[in-house]
Amino acid sequence: MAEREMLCGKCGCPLEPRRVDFEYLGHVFFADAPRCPKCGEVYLSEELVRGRVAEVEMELENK
Amino acid sequence: MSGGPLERWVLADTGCKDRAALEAWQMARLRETVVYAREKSRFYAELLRGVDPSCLRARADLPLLPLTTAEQLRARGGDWLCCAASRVGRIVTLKTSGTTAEPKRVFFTESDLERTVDFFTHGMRELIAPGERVGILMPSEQPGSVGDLLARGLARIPAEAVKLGPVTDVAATYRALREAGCGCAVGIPVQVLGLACYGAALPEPERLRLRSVLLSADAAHPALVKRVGALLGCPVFTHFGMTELGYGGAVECAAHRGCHVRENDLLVEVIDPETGAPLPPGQRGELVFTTLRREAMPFLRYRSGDLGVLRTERCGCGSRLARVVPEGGRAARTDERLSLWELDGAIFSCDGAVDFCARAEGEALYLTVFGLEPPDKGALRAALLASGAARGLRVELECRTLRGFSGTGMDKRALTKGGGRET
Repeated sequence: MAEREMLCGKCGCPLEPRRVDFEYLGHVFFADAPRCPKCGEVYLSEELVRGRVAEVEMELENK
Repeated sequence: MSGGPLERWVLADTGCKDRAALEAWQMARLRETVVYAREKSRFYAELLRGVDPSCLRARADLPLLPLTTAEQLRARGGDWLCCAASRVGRIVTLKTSGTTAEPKRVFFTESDLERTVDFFTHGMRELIAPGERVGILMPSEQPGSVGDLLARGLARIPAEAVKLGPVTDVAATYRALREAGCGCAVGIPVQVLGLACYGAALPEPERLRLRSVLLSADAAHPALVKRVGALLGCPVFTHFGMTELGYGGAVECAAHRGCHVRENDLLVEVIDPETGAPLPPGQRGELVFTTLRREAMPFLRYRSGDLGVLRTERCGCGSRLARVVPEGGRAARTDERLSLWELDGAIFSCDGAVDFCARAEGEALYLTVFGLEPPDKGALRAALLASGAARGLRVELECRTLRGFSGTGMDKRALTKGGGRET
């Protein structure tokens, strides 16, 4: 089944996959995530948050 | 009560004038914490169902509360949280090295971290004077790291923090401490021992002039403490803490008879590690902690996994704050035949020994001891024999040159089991 297109709730524009930079504890890392080309809002899926983001967070959260 | 800076701070913070008032104050905070945790946290709502906080009047009532464990924290840490995610200022993740077990994640609000900073300010006054320069040999780059919080605490004394991070290159760190003019160093026991051995081999004019040293983050056997003090020529203080407690737990005073607990934030007990039954002061058992004012993640009767003794009589410094004397190492043994604490006592009593790793397999103890030069095998064998620490196992001993300390050094050392490592 093809992935459904995601639309920005504010602008109505289709979200486009983009590199998104995350900053945490003074470090920057990135991941690809759907982003509105108009307002810049990013959609963070549960898979992304519980996967890559959580993984990097925990690596950075040492004592 | 008329002890040192830490006691004065605890009394001022709580408004208590004596021990009896302090204990009543602690029980009042405990009742509040139970109500708070049960209301805010899914985990505690289940755990504390059926507990009537009004029955918690004195320390003898503590067993009315169930004990909590690291395993529960690993399995359900998110459910321990008592505040909105937006109020969390810092999370610390503790992985268990060598296993695939879930990590422990501990959550703090800014207010929780501030209490730690406050403890560090007053606790460090037990060993340094205003104007001192302190080398911090622990992770300190990240905001909210133990070294960062310590630096913030030192600034209020005021004292200057020199953030050097954990030791990876002994010579470089020693030089950095000396060039920075540090009069105090705070570090991990085996790493500080490595620095001390290095310095003792230098000509006198090139040596550090430390006025005090604080050992933290891992157990410091008295044999190690004694060698560090002799090699560095300064008093050695120990600190007992855990991330779960907000890093800071208890710190030694100049009497060196145990670590004074920050009793305005923590309530300490000792239990029989087998049965969970409370033990009286003076008897060795597992140290159990309860936090009294934590916002993000309170800990109620949390089993530390560390053995020790609680002392409640007046200390030589005059303080009536309870003291923990860590003793005996970890309650759970990787191998029932061996005690890391006993091995520490034997190995660290030997000149030249800085660190070691050990595992028991069959009837043999495979032991590798590291030094700035390979330590003397004969002395090590004699120490192991005299102490009985090898428990009759055949000792396969290797001695090697230390090439640096692994990782951040913040993992508590543990005996390896087969190919893995448990803590």
